[in-house]
Order: sequence, then structure tokens, then C-alpha cells
Amino acid sequence: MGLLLIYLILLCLGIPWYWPADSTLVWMGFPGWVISSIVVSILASIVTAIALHSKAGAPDE
Amino acid sequence: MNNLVPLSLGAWLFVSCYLGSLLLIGWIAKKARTENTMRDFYLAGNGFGTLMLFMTLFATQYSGNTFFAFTGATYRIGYAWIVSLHFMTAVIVVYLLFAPKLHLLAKKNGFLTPGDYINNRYQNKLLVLLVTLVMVAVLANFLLAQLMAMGRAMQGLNPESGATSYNVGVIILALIMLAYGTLGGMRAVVWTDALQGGVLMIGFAVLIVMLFDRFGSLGKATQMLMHVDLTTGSRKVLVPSADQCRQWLSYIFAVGFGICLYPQAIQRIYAASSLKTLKRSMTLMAFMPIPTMLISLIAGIMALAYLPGLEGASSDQIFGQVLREVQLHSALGNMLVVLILSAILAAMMSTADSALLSLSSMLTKDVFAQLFPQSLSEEELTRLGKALSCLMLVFLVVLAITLQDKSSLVQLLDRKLDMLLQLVPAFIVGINWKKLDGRAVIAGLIVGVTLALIMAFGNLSFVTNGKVFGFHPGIIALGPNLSVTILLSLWFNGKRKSVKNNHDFSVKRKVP
Repeated sequence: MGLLLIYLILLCLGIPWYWPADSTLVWMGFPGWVISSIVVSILASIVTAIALHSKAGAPDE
Repeated sequence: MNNLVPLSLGAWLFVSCYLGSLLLIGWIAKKARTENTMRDFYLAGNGFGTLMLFMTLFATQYSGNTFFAFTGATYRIGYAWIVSLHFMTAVIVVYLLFAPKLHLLAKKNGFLTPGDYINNRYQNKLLVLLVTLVMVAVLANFLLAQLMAMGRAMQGLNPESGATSYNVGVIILALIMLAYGTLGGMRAVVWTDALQGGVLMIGFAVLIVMLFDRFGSLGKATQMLMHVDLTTGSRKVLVPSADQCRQWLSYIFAVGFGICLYPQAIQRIYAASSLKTLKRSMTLMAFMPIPTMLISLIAGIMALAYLPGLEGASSDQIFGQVLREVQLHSALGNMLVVLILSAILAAMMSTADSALLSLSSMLTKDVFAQLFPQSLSEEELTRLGKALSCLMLVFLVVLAITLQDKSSLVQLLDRKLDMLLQLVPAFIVGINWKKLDGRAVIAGLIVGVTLALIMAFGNLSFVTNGKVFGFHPGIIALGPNLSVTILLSLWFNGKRKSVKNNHDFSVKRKVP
């Protein structure tokens, strides 16, 4: 259940609905909202990697 | 790829040798076979280690098509295509829901096809047949799309010959594919997957560096596109609109749940040598969307900023134009493009071949062996599978040649994800909820597939560009599918419980 909640939070943060529509922030060549989306995706990858190696996320042999 | 500079004789020789090397891989894979069984041919004897499994999962999730199709998508919609990063990550998150459990079951019961799991879990022959039917329809469509893409790629390399290049390309590439696939089975497909995956990743990384060298930095391209957005009102760099955000949500669920239910993906879960291997490969896969999707996103943004002007369907040709720029830039660029083209062609063949293998295994094991049990030995079934591969391929090659000018018709048929999504209850819910009943899954599947197809082809007023309020029809249809499946399962379970109670009561009354 905790894992599901983490993914839901990441899903909400990954989609840039909360960014101001007229934001012109550019950082490292990317628009600011793209950077935030990439960071969330990296977090999702890390959470998935941890879940794959924990008993809560995946069964053992 | 119609915009390329014509290839020299030396370049053609290189492409031919590269593709010819696949036959050598097929032959080596044949020599590596340990036994003449379906398990060895279709699952490489369940012996994939971490690296091989990772490479083949990578090639299954990202076909040769992905790089230029996603570059084209970025060119059309701009930075909003960063959604690809999320939906490709979602695929691994969904694997987490069922892949480890499915692997353990497969190992315990010796599964070969997706139908084997369905049979083991529900003991319902009709459900096995229905699930196989949906998967065969999806795979045949997938294979046809790959064959047509191969034909178009060959046409792009030799535009003067037009349709002849397309036809000859489809036939020759299909023959090479059939030869190495039939020789080495899953082992050959996975080895070529590994080769193409590696070459494409390195090739594309160098390509991006060359694009920066040719045009300038990404920041400059972003600023240029931002200026266009602010003056014309387009949203290629600015924050996506509410409608686009809704589409993101649909893509994340549709691709996340759809791609991991491809039969060839399920068979790769079976083929892992151990659960530890599977988990390690998936851990690596969890991080692959970042470099892969960023490369195609950056290529698309650079093209949008510096090579504007392509609209609609012709924007799919942008990848060819990007390659042309690199070809003209330097001799090294020209060599890189020849290498990338060879790897893309080989990757398409490898992707098509893994679909063909899955198709033949399902037709042999889930259809023929179900209809005529114990009529053929393992060796004979393997031979039958190879014969079925040939027949299917001939049929699809004829279709690819016949439909070459009817791309709109092919797009109409292209509802793969919508169909696969209807298998979510059978595989993902079923493995996690013991009370799920096979009869309920059949009812849900019929409801889901029917609704998805009606929404896709029914010319309904609320369906725009194949989407319902921004959502894939398959996602919408999955709601009723899940509801029917769960409610009927609860009802069947309640009925079973009351029958059992009545039975226990009457038994107790009979005992003095």
C-alpha cells in the first residue's frame, strides 16, 4: 500500500499540471517543467529498483 | 528515410555484410542448442543470464522503430513527448506487479506460452483460446507493421526504384529473418537483439554529439522554439495544456500495462534462468528510459529548431532529414549513418523475428496441441512450429506488399494496445487475486474487447483522433472489463460457497 502511495505521488508530480502555463524557465538547455519531469522519472526508477529487491515489492525464490 | 544522400557501393556492401552476419549468428545459435525441444527453441532452454535477458528485454521494449518514430513524435508535439520517459518507466513498474510471481510459476510448471499460464491458473480451455486469439491478432498486426517499416526503410535507401525497392526489401529481409530465426530460435533472436541494442545506443549517442557540433547547443534550440511559442501561440516548449496532461495520464497507463502483456515480453519472463536474474535485469531496465528517451527527444527538438517545415504524416520523415544533415556534415558522419541504418534494419528484423517466434509457439502449443493433444512428439511440434512461422510470414509479406499504399488502412487496424489492455484482468489481477474466476474473465474480456473496438471504429461523436476525452479506448473499456470480471467472480465465489455449505450440511445430516 505504501509503495502504491509513493507511485501515486510520483505520478502526480511527473505530469506538469501544476506548473504556471506561461513559465519560460530554462535550465541546462531544457524547460524547467521538463527538468522536474525528468527528476520524477529518475525517482520512479530508483523506487522501482528498490522495490524489485525488497520483499514488499517482489517475492523471493 | 526518403531524404538520405544515396548510399555508395561501399556503403551498400557494408549494409549487406551487416545483415548477412545475422545468418552467421543464427548458425552459431543452432550449434549452441542443447536439445531438440520446444523449450530450447522458443525459450533458449530457460537459460538467460542477467545481461542477455536485459538486452533482449530492452530490444523488446524499444524496437528499431522507436528511435525514429519517437524523434518524429517530438518533432510534432515538442517537449510534451517527454511523456515517453514516464510511460516507458511505467512498463517496468507494471512488471513489478506480476513478473516475479509469473516467473516462479513458470519455473515450477514449465510454461512455454502465455496460454500455459492461463491454463494453469483458470483451467478453462475457452479462456486459453480467447486470450491466444487476442494475442495472435495483436502479434500479426505488430509483425505486419514491422515488415512494412522494413520495406519503407529499403525504399528510403533506394528511392529511384520506388515500389520495387519496397517489395524486394520486404521479401529479402523477411527471408534473412526467417533463415536465422529458424536456425537458432530464441537464442539467435536474443543474440541479434543484444548486438543491435548496443550498436543503436552508442550510435545514437554519437549522433547527438554530431548534431550539437553541426547546429549548436540544446539551450539555443530551446530558446529559439520558446520564442516561436511566445509569438505564434504554439506549445512546443511551454508547459503542456490541460488536455495534453490528460493524454499523458492515458499514455502512462495504456503503454505501461499494454507493452508488458506482449506475448514475447511474457515469454522473456519465463526464459530468465532465475528470479534473481530477472530482478537484476529489470533493475537495469528501470533506468533505461532515461538515456533512450532523452536521446530521441533531443534529436527531435534539434530537428524542430533547425529543420522546421514538415507537417502531419510527412513529419515522420524528419529522422531521414536529421541523418542527411549528419551525412553531409563529415565523412565520419556518413559512416555513422551507414552503421545506424544497418543496425536499425537489423533491429527491425530482430523485433519482427521475436514476434514471429511467439506467434508460432502460440499457434503450435495453444491451438494445435490443444486441438490434437498427444498427436505429435516434441520434435515434431518444433518442426510444425517452424513450418507455421514460414506460412505466417509468407501471408504477412503478401499483405505488406498489397497494403503498401494503404497506410491509413493499417493505422485503422493498429489497435494493439487497446486489445492488450483487455488482458490485464487475466494476467495481472489473476496472479494477485486468488478469487478471480475464469468464467468471469471470459465475460470481462468479451465486454472489454467489444467496447474498445466499438470506440475505435464506431465513428462515435465523442471519439476524437482515436481518443475518448484524451484517453485511449482501451483504457476506457478496461473499466467495464474489470467491473464485470470482479463482480462476476464475487458472485461465482458466493455461489460456490453456498453450494459447498449445502453439501457439507447434507453430508453432516447423513452421518448418524
